[in-house]
Amino acid sequence: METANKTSTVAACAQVFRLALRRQFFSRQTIVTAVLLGLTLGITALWAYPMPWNPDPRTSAQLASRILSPLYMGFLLPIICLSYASSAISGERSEQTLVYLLTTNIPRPLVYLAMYAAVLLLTLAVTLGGLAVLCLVPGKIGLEALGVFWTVTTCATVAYVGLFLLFSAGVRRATFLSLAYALMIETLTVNIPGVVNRITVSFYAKSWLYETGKPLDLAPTGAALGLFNPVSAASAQWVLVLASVGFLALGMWLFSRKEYD
Amino acid sequence: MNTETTTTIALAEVRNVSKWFGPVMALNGVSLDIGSGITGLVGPNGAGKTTLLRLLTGQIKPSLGEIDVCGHDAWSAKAKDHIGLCPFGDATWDELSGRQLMRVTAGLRGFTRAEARKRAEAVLETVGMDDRANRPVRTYSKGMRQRIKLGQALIHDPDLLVLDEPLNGVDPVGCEELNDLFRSLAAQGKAVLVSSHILHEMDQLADRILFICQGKLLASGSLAEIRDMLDDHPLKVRISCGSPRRIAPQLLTLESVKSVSIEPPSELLLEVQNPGRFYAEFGEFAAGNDAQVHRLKATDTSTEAVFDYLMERALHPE
Amino acid sequence: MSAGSLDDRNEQQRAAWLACWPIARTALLLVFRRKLFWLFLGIALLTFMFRFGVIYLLAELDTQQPGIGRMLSRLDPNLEGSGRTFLNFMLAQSTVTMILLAFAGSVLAGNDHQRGGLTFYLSRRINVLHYTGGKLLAIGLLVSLTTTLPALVLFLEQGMLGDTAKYFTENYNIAIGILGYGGLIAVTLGLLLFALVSWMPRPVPLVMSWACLFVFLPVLSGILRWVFDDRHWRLLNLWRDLYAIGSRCFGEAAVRSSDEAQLPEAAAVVFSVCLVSFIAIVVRIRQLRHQS
Repeated sequence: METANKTSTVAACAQVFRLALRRQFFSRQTIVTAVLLGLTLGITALWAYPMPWNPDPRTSAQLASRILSPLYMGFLLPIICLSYASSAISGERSEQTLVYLLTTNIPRPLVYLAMYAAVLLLTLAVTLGGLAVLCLVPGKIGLEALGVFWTVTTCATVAYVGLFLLFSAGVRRATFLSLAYALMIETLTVNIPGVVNRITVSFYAKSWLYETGKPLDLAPTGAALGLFNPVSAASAQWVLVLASVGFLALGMWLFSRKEYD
Repeated sequence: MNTETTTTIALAEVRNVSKWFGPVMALNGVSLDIGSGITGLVGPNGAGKTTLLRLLTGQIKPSLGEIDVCGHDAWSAKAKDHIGLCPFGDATWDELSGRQLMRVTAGLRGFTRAEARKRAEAVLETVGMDDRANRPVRTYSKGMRQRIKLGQALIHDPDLLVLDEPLNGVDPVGCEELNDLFRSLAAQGKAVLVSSHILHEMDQLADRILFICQGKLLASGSLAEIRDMLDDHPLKVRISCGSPRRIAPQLLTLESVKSVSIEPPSELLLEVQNPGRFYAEFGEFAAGNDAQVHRLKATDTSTEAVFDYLMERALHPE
Repeated sequence: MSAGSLDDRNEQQRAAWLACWPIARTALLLVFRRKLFWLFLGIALLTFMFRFGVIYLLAELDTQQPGIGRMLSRLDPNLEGSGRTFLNFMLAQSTVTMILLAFAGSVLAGNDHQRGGLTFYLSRRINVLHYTGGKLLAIGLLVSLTTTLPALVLFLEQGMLGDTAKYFTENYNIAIGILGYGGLIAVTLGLLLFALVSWMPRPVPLVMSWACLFVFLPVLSGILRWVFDDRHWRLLNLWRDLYAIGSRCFGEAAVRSSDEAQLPEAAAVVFSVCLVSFIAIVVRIRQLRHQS
């Protein structure tokens, strides 16, 4: 009872934040992420260097449509978000250390919020940092692409982290569920006509990109051509923001009620 | 048989609590109080011990009934201010050193950095880990892990300490040290709830025992109290005396004595019906018959024997 | 050495190889117990159900409105019931098979490596090869559950809804192709997955590496092909390599001209992947056995 007077919930939440940040950063997923970003960086550097068979100067449109859109937005971004967010709670759960967080005097929603903040900070640092380096490698042309992509990347990261952390709070094997979402639901729904594809984060990120990225000639390609009916950038922004808030609120609610074994 | 001994102020109150996991009933209408001192929670595997501990520490909610810790619902954050848990298993944040783990745990309780450092050092000394605290936890032996886990449970000086098999893997000397620590905590007025399947650990340690089986609380109280209640089960008493052959027939005249057998050269083995009455009758008998009693010992008052009786009663109520 | 002891040894060897089945069965039961597996399997069978319905619909149209039926078949060659139909169906199952395998790999073998289950197996009268064989059998059966088996059912449906005897006698090579392509996928993915799980038993790194192999590398191969203007970079796409070899199992007609040129190179890549995976598995398991 004496302890209650000396302690502070804010300090406790800050400790959860620091602990989650540290555990996520010093993990194998950071190594794999670094390797992936390194490979992408290498490819971008190779592409940026004029080759005998392709001596034309590189353009920001090529960077956006050939590298950033398919490789970065289509694969790296969801995978990086997935690797940190889906393992945050389910990782503690499978390692049986979640009990130490659940038996502290911090209200459960705040534990979730602190973990969310830690994962979001780390993921944003990696995704935005990675994007900045990728765009800066080819030089000046990258700056234009960076200007278009960074806002979309930020919002998409926030939404993905919210969603995958929600999976992590709800399911023990959240990584697989997140993978199924990122690689199956998002990919499959793109090719389904109608409004079904509007359930995915990538739909809104792409809609936003296609509108603001007009100078970069960004447009639907391949199977999605003709089936992709984008919403306006403003609508996409609203949906991403509301979805992020919704995922966070739902996650806090779920985490505060769920009985973990 | 649910007996509630409330000699001290209850820090935790469990009121008619039931818990289902799907179709499985893990706890069935359990009511008990946990006051200061050491309380042992004993039961076979699957009895509901861990469920009870998880309910008390607010990890799960009861399906029916209420659990209060220091006046707060056990699920609430306020209740957890008063609880320290040393969970079963070896899991901790293994990549941290013992000292870092203590500081992090103090931080999780909301202490300032300076206070967290101070508490970490104090607790490391208390659990005897101060000289090994800079090593990563993953390099610790099982016994050292138990100590460091106990340390994290003590970091905020809780009123109710919940220990799930805390002596598991600890060497005999370490066990004695930890038992002394539990006793000193109990002497400070704290409630220490120790679950164990090693029944004889409880003989010397616990002031009060909770027997649990098949989700029901079979009995609670001190070992002697519980043994007294089991009046339909005979107690075996070994008496060492000067002339066993002379007093054996006389002992059979006592109402509480069911049978007497002579164990040469100087011992008698008695089966008695009601221990309380027997001790009273035997006192009078010994004083009046020059029995020359050197030693009297009840052979089956151990937790294990009592537990066997209780289990038998639970399984065959008639 | 007496004939009796030689017989005993042979008998023991035979018994040890027979132990592969209980190992595989136990591993499969572990996977079947997970709800998430049934969710993935359900998703995997969506494409199958869709194709099943379409084949039925086209067969009905063929009898009632032959003109419309033929027109629809021509519009989408994937529906005509040729080798390419089943080849493309099995390719379409690749993503869900990949996710299912990532999940199954963690349950089938990851837990053994992480939680000491390997000691349990190797304390029996079996060696590393028998243990590996059992686990590979389990992975292979899982792969077949989403690729070979549904494709065979579709093949049977296709035949039974038309002129049964004629379809089966004219297209028996399709059944061989399904089994061949299915077997190739099962062996390659089984070895690759098991090797990866042996070295990376934790779910998140496993999932990331697995996704890199089957999503990142194909995208990367496309970019590299464009950057260097060299078709050999396409060999980085393992799905494509498997498809190229698998199409050969369905007969020459099913092989695309672009794949035909790269067939030997694709075969070399797949063989190298299998060999490296096998070596990685044996080295890792021996290492773990010595550690335990």
